[in-house]
Amino acid sequence: MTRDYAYFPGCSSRGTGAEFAESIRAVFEHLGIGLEELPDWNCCGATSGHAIAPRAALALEMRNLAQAARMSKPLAVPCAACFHNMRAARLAAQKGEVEPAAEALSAPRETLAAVEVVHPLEILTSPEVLAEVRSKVVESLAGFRVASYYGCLLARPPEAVKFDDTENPTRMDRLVEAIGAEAVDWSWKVECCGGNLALAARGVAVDLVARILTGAEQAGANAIAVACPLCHANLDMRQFEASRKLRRKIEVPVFYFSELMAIAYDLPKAEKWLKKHITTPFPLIDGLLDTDR
Amino acid sequence: MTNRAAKCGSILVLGGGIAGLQAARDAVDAGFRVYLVEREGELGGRMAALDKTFPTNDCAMCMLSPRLVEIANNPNVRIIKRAQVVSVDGEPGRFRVTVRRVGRTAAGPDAAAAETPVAEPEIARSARQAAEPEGAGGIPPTEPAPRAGGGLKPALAEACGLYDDCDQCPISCNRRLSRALDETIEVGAIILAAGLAPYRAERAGEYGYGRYANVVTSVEYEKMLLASGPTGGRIVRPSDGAAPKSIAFIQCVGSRSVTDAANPWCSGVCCMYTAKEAVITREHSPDTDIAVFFVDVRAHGKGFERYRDAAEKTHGVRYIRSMPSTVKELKRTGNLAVRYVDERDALKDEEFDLVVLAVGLEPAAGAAEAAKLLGVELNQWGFPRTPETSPVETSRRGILAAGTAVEPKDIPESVTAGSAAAAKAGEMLAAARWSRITRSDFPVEKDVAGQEKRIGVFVCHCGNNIARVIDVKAVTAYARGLPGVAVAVDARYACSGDGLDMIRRTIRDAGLNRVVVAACSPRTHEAIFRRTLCEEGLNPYLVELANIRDQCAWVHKSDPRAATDKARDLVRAAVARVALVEPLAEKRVPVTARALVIGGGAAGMTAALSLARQGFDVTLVEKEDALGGNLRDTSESVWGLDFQAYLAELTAAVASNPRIEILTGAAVASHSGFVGNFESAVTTPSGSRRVRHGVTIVATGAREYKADEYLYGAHARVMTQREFERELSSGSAAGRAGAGRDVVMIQCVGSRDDKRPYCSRVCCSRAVKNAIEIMRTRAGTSVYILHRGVRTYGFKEELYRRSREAGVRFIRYLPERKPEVAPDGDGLSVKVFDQDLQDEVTLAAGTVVLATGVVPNADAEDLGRLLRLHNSDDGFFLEAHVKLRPVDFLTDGIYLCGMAHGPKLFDESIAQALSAAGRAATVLAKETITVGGSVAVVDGDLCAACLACVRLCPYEVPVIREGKAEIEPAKCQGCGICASACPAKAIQLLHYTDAQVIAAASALARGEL
Repeated sequence: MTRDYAYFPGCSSRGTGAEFAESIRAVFEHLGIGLEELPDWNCCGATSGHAIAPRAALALEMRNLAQAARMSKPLAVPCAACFHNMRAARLAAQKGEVEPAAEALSAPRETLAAVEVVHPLEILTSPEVLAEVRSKVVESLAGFRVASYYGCLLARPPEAVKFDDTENPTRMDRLVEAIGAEAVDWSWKVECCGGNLALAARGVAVDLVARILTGAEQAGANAIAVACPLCHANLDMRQFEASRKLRRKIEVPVFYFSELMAIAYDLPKAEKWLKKHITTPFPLIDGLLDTDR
Repeated sequence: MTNRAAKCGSILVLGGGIAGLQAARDAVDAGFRVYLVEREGELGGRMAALDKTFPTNDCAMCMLSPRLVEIANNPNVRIIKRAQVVSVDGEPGRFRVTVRRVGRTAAGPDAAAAETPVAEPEIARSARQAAEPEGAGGIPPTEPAPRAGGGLKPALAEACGLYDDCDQCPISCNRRLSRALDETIEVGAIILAAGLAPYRAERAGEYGYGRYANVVTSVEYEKMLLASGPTGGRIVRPSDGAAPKSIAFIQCVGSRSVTDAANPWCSGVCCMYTAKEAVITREHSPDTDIAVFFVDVRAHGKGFERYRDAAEKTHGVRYIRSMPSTVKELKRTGNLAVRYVDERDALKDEEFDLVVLAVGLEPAAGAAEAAKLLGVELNQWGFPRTPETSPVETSRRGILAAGTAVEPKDIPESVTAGSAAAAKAGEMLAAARWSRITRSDFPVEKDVAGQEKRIGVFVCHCGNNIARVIDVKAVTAYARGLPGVAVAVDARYACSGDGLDMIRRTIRDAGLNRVVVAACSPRTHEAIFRRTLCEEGLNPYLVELANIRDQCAWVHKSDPRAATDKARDLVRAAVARVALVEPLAEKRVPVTARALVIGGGAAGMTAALSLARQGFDVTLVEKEDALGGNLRDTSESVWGLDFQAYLAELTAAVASNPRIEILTGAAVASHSGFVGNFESAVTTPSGSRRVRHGVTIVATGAREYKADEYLYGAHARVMTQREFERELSSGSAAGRAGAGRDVVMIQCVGSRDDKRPYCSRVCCSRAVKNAIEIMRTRAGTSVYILHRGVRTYGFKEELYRRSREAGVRFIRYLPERKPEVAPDGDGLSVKVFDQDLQDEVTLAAGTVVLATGVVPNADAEDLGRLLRLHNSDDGFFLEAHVKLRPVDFLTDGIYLCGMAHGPKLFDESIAQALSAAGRAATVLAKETITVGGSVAVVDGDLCAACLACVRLCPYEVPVIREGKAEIEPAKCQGCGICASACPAKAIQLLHYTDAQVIAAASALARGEL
């Protein structure tokens, strides 16, 4: 099992998903697993790209895969959308569905098809690494009842993503348990959050977010863990609107799984990241942990 | 070319479910030895796990048990349980099949599940030890009681030194036999009837089965309904054991899928079993709210539509046409949240206490390998491929397939297929009939008339079943003192080989002429003890069973004293009765080996041909001048079979068969007699013909409904499906006139309405087939199918999918708002309120095709009266039992097949025709049949010809001749209704005469001294 990966940050890594990218880096460093950034990486096409210009989006992805191939390391991709698109692109290459133009911009399809694309959750929940994850915990997360939210891009379509069970994935849950928190089983793990409609039909997105939040609450959770900057954005930012929709206050802090790990490892920068959240996690944290705040 | 004489007169039936059981019984009754191989430890298959069955709500086990007993007691059927076929060599007519039996204690997958024996009570253990040699493995202390007539290989006996004929050794032996037992059997034909398994609902992850406690499958729900099941007949929520107040059924789980997550076919039975489970639940607890989420309801069978309608209208089950994509669990309560869009496009959220997934059927694990082993080719769905023209034949000659193993289907269709497979096997092995059957030759019956009554009483321990509660020794001692009793002994297992030997010895040594066996139920064991009497030359009616097990020890476990007292009472009553029973004679009458087949369509011709091939003569009567019936007028089947070509082939085969006499332009004018001995008069163009026959097969078909709605008859471009198919296939001028213009098909014309509340079954499949054809051949044409639910059941779901992919448009309408058809220029305009769109749509059509239903023939009633047959509510002929006797009539010897039974597709008619032939063969194959025994007899001097018996008899047996009622012993079924109703006490039911019944009742009522 390798401890050295190429790393695709994704566009949100410096913007809305900054705390995700930074916490991932910090946690991997803490575990002694190398992440080397892909040189000259480009946009993965994301959802808008691949909805409007699928061929172009695929070509963009293939270019990234080609870079990874040159690095001869498996490629770790934290953002769910980027991860989804890379796996889809690799599947297309394996099926031989590659346009000559795309190939010309990147690499021969055999090369692309052979690139290993992994999600940090897959790395962290592999048996050897999971044992280490567990052993490095210094801060007890007892009292954190965490509902793991996977969103749609990690789960579907199964033949492309091949990440976990489509209806009831458990990787993040296992990670949450390994770091000492309680993983709450709930029915909204892979529900759509309405992210795509956040601009065009905001009401729908708010409604869907409200359902996810109440679902977590109903299941007895006091926190939600996510693995995607857009999932985080939606669930974190729309709680006030959701409360208005529900006509009662609902507040469930949303953490990146790597942030939870950072708390468990008592990494110094954790607070800095947590401050970026819109729905403040501090009442929960202060209530459960002895912090020096 | 195989030497015909060298064919083996045995048949191997693979699978002991209802199809296999039917095939086995028809095969053995027609003269073939049967090996019934079952993978599990018990027979019964899926049906044994059901509580009630639709649409009659009959108890499944009540219907099944007598069949199981019959098979188990038949000396020419060998049942091999916990066994599988490992190889098939040889050729049709002479296969060599290796069967492997794996006990729980043999090395193998079940080895880990070996059980430790339960400690037995002292009384039974010491008795056993006293009886058995030292150090032997011993008969296990746990029950069940051994079944007489089982057969274990002597090798097993050698291995352990002691065995009983109970077949339990591989399961319960204390000594671990470490090997599987292989045995090679020679058979002439093989019938594959291995059934299906329920879809594994864990695969439908969106519904949370296996994750959410209160999501169950219909199989589990059915188990809860069973009074003998794990919850004692109470519906409970798994999470907290509370009774659910609201239940949601979700249909089509695992079926009708367009992805790999589930199967593409329609499983055919789920809509109906859900209706049944819902109805039974509402009957138990009327306050429970039940919602059924469905897309189409497949209620295409006999009585189904009425049943489903009653579920909604009478029992208040809510039917919601919407398929929830997911079910969510509300952790705090364990309730399930279902979100759906209703028919008005409104988003609804409902909470339910329990969700039931109506799972479909699929091949069991290992089915594909098993088929490969048999050398049988599979179709695209993974089932054995069978031709439409012979739906029970596989790709390997000599291997037949029946029941759900071929395609998901319900119980009547499985039973039908079982008989059909037996018929086909019979065709191949006709020359070897009776060659492997061991007939019992009983000694000449002793005349006991006038003898002093010498009664032997045998009280059975039944291992622990009786002895654990009842003091058997005390009851035996009591019996010894009863009037007429010469000998009273107890036995550990009266029905075992040893037990029966002892009874026989005692009859001989003590000169007994009457026997009482105090043991278990006569329903299961009377036949065994009657046989034993015959073996000792006693008339079989001279034995009486007192049920001190099911009706005493088992129900009074908590009060052994009272149970023992009751056992004494029951024995006393049995002794009093048996003292008065008389020997009854059963007459042997010769069977006329000819069949009269009424109706020369596809069904009639197929039945005739099968019977002829099985070695019997046939007279085929057809009212038209030519054979063919509805086949003459139709072009192709839903799968594309050319009907005209097939008709020519079939007619030629029938015409050239020397055993078949064809009478066209003919009709049956009179029909009398009884099974094996009928006599009919047939009117032919050249005069009246007298036909003597042993059986009659009714295959008179049905006809297309002639509509009077939607401008049919008033407009040239409004036509029936059949007329349209003719146009499509002929490419006629009229067809060309319609070409390039859209086609609108209107379904359910003349069906599913007040006048005819049944589904005509064939129309949806034909419509989509025709629609696909149009889309394929006429570019630019649009096809609209206006429907009330699409009923493409079984593999025909594939046709529906193809039609959707081809671009056929489906518009759903309600019966309250029927489409309107009006002339429009030289075409037609069709207005319909689209339920899914919630708006009216106007379509311009060049052709309107009406899916007119199937209706009974006008002369069906006349024929019914002639043959004394009953009609169903919908006017088709009514069979003896909708579930288990679909091709029999209540009158023995008369059978039914084809559309005369009800609407059906071509391959279904063929299957039924073969089935009728298989059933008829069980009569015709015999040289003589026994009639009589326990029948009703009339004392003519007392009879006043009041007609009470004539009116009440369910079998229409009594007739009045010369002022007196006469009951033909061969027809009487011994039900006793006439005897109890006769106001003059002129009728007695033999073996249940007033004197006998009163004696038993008085003895029972009289207390102990």
